[in-house]
Amino acid sequence: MLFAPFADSSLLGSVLPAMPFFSAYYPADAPDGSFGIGCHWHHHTPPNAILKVDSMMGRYLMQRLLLAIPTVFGVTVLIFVAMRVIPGDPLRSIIGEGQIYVLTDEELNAVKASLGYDKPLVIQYLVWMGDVAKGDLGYSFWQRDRSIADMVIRRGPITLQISIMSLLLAWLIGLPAGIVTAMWRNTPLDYVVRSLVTLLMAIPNFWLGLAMILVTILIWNWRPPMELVSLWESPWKNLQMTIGPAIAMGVGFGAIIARMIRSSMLEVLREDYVRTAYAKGLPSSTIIVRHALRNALLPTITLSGLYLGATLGGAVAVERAFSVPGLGYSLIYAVQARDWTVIQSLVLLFAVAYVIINLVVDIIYGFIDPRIRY
Amino acid sequence: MESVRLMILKLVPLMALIVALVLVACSSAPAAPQVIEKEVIKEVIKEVVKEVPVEVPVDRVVEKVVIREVLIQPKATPEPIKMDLSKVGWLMKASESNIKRGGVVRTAGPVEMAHWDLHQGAPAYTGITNIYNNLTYRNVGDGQRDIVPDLATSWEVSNDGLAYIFTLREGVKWHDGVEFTALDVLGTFNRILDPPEGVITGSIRQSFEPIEEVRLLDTYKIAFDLKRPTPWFINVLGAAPHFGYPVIYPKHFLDANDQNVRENLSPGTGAFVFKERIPGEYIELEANIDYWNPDLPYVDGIKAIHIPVWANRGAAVLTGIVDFTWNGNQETWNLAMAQPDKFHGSNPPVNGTAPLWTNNSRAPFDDVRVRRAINLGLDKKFDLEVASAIALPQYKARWITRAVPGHMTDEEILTLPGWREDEAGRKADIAEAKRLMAEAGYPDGFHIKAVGNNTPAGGEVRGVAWLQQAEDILGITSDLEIIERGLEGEILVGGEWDVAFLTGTGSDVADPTAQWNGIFRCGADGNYYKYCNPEFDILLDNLLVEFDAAERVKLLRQAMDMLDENPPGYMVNGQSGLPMGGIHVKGLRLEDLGGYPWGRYETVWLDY
Repeated sequence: MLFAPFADSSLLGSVLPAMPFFSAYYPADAPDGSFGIGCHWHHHTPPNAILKVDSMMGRYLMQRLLLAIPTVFGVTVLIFVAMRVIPGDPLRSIIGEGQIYVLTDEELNAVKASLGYDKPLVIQYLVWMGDVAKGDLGYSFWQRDRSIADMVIRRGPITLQISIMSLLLAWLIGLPAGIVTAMWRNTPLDYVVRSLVTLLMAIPNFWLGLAMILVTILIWNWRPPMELVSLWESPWKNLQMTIGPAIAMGVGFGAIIARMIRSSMLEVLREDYVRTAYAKGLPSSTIIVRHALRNALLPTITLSGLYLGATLGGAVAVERAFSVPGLGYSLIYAVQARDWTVIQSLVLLFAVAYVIINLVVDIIYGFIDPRIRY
Repeated sequence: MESVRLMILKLVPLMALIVALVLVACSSAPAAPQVIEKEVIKEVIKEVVKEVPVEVPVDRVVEKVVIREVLIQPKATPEPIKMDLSKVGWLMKASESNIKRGGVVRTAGPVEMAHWDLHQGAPAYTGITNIYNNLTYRNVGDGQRDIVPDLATSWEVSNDGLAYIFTLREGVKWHDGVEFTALDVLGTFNRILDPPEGVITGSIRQSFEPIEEVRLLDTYKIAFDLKRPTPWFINVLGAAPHFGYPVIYPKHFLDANDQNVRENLSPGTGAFVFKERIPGEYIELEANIDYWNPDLPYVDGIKAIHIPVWANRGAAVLTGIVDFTWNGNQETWNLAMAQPDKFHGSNPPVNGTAPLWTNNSRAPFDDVRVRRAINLGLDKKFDLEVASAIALPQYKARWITRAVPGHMTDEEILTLPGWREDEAGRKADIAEAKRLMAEAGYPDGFHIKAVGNNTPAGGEVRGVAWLQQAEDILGITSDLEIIERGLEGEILVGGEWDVAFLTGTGSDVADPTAQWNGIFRCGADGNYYKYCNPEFDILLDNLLVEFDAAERVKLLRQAMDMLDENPPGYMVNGQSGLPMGGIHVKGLRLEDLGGYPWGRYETVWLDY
C-alpha cells in the first residue's frame, strides 16, 4: 500500500507537480488523459493493479535482502581472513610503541590470550559475529577506553554529511552542465564547459582540498575548524568544517555526472519518441526535462549510489587534508596500525551501507522508469 | 517456490567459495600456540687490556700515546656536580612579571596513543605529561634550560659520585587524594629497573642503567646508589623525551594494577588533572586547584588537539585555531616568523642523533673500510637537503648534536674529509672511498638488502635518495623493502638487512653518552648495528664518569675521531624542532627555547 499513491496519476499529479521526473504521469501532456514514458503509453492504472505492484515490490525487496545476507557474510569472512593472513602482528606494534622492543613468544602469547586471540580462528569469527549481532562492535586494539560503536556514532554522521553534501553539490554542478552541453552540442559553450569538466575530473580531490586550504590561509588567514562539531551543536561551525571537503569531493563527481548526462542525453535525443514529441509541438524545455532527461538519468543514478557508498567508506585523502576526524580517517589509521577490530567493524558497516544504497537505487529506478517491474 | 529454488541454486557456488576460503585460512592457522624449547649458548666476552708495540710514523706515535694514556688511565676521583643550593625547594614559575590568569590553552600535535603508560613508551607529546611530575625537571619558565627541583626539593651527592640522596616535597597529594611519599619513588624506579612480567620498560631502563639500587631512607628521603659516577644522572631524571618519560607513578595505583599503567590512566601530582579524551581528536586537562606549587598553573585548562600532519599544525597556529604547537613544519614556521608582531618560535636542537643503521655483523658492512667508504664518498649535503625537505630541519652533526658542549660548528665540520663540499674536496673523498672499497674487495661495488619504514623520512623518500646516490657514486645496488614502523623492532633484531632507514634512537638528554652506551657499546641491548669497538668502549667508560666539563669536551672530540675512523653507521645530521605559537602565548620562552620540549608546559599563560 506504500506505493499506491504513485499508481494513481491524478493523485500524483496534484501531490508532485513540481517534480519533472514523475511528470510522465502528468495528464496535461496528452489531451486524452493518457501519458507516456519512453515508447510506452499507459492509460490510467486500474485499482486491482495496485495490489499486484505491492506484492511484486515486496517480493523483490525480500529477495534482495536475502541475497544481501550471503554478500555481507562473504565480506566479513574475507576481511576477517585478510586481517589474519597479512604479515605483521599488531600486538607487537602496540607493545613496541615508542621503543624498539621485540616481544618474546611467551609475552606475545600472553597478550593474545588476554584478548581472546589464542582461540581457533573459527571461534574468533563466531564470537565476533555474535557480538555484532548484539550490536557490540568491540574495542580498538589501540584505544581500549572507547568502543568502536561510540566511534562510529561520533564520526559516522560527519562522514555521512560530507558524502551527502558532496553528492548534492555534484548534482548541482553536473546536471545543468550535462544538459547544457547536450543541448548546445558542438558550440563554443559546449567546448568551454567540457574543458572545465575534463579539468575537474583530472584534478585529484585531495590536491584540490589542499589548494583550497592554502588559498584560504594565505589570503584570508582562515582555515576550516579541525575539531569535530556536529550540525546540532553549531551549524555554522559545522558548515565551515564540511563545506570544504564537500566541494573538494563534489566537483570531481559533478564533472563525471556532467559527462555521463551529456552522453546519455545525446543518445536519448536521437530516439523516435523525442522526434515525435517535437513533431507534436511540445516546447523544447518540456521535451528535454520531462522526457529525455528522465531516461538519461538512469545510469547517473546508479553511479550516484556507487559514489555514495564509496564516500561513506571514507574519502580518506580529503578527510586527512582537511583534518576532519571522520570514518575515512579512522579507517586509514586503523590500517596503518593493523587495528583488526576497527578494520573489521568498519568494513562490515561499509558493506551493509553499500547493500542498502544499491537496494534504494534499484527501487528508485522502478519509480523513474515504469518499464522496470519487479 | 520456483524463484526460491533458483535463488538457492545461485547461492550454492557462492557459499562453496566462502567455505573454501575459511578452510584455507583455518588450515594455515595454528589452533594453539606451540611451545618450542631451544638451547641457547651464550658467549661471554672478557675485556683484556694489552699493550702491543706498533710501528707507526713519528707524528702518529705522539697522537696514539696521548689517546692511550687517557683510555688506560681513567680518572679515579671524579668530582660530581653538587646542587646549586639557591635552588633548594625552588618552585617553577614563568619568567615574566605581569602574568594574567585564566583561559584554556589549545595546542596542536599528535595525540594518538596506544596506552597510557609513559614508562612503556606512551608518547610524551600527547600532553599527558602535564598530569605528572618527575624528581627533577627542566625549568619550563626559562625555556627548558636549567635542571630544577620538582618532586625532590633538593639532593646531595657523595664525593665519589656513587650515591644521590633526594629530599622529597612534603604535603604533595596525588590527584586521587593519597599522599605522595618516598615509597612512590621507590615503587616507580623498582618497576623501571626490574619490571614484572608483562611490563616492558626497555628504552627508559637504558637511561637508568647506571642505577645499582634505590633505597628508602625515610618517608621523604630516598637514595640512589649508582654503579659508577654518572655526570648526567640528575639531567636524565628530569628528561623530557618523546618516549620513556621518567614520571613518578603512585605506588598504590601500581600495586592495584599489577604494575601496569597501560589500560588505566594513573593519577599524577602534576599541575593538571585529566578531564577527557576523545581518541583521535583531543585530550583535555583541567587545572589542579590543589597543586603543590600554589602559583601554578596560570591557565584553567589545556586542550591538546590531534593534528597529525605537521603542516596542519602550523596552519592551525597561523589561523588562530590553536595557541601553539611544539612542531610545525618549515613552511608554516617561516610564515609565522615573518610576522613577529603576531607569532614567535624557535628551532632548538633535538636530543640525540640518528645515524643510518648498517648491519655490521655481516658482509659487506662488517668491514670498517666499507663503512668508512660510505661516510667519505656519499654526498652529505644532498642527504641533508633531502632530509630537511621531508622532516624536521636538519643540520650537520658530527656524531653529536648542537646542544652538546664540544660540538663542532658547521665551518669546522666542512673542513673534514667526508664533509667537504668544494669540488676538489669531493673528488678527493670519492677517490679515497673507492680506494677503500677496492681494498676491501669491492672495486665495483656490491648489492645490499635495505629496509625502510613507511615514512618519507625513513624508506619512502630519504632511503630511496640515499640508495640512489650510493649506486651512482659507489656502485652499491640494492633491494629496498618498505615496512611499517611497528615492525621495526622485529626487523632490526632479525638481522636480515644490510642498511635500515628506520626511526632514529633519540636521547633523553643532550649529552650523547647514555645513548652511545645503549647503541654503540659492544653487546648493548640497543646495539642493532652489531657494532663493536673495544677502544671506543674504553673511551665510553671514561665519558660515563667524567664530570669536568673541559675534559668531557676533549673526550667527546676523541670519540668523534674514533667514530670517524671506525664508524658504526652513516652519520650526517642532527635535527631541530620548530615550536611556534601566537605572540599571546607567554611563560615558555617559545622564542628562545634552550632544549627541545615534548613535555610539560605548566608555566604557560595567555596574554589576551
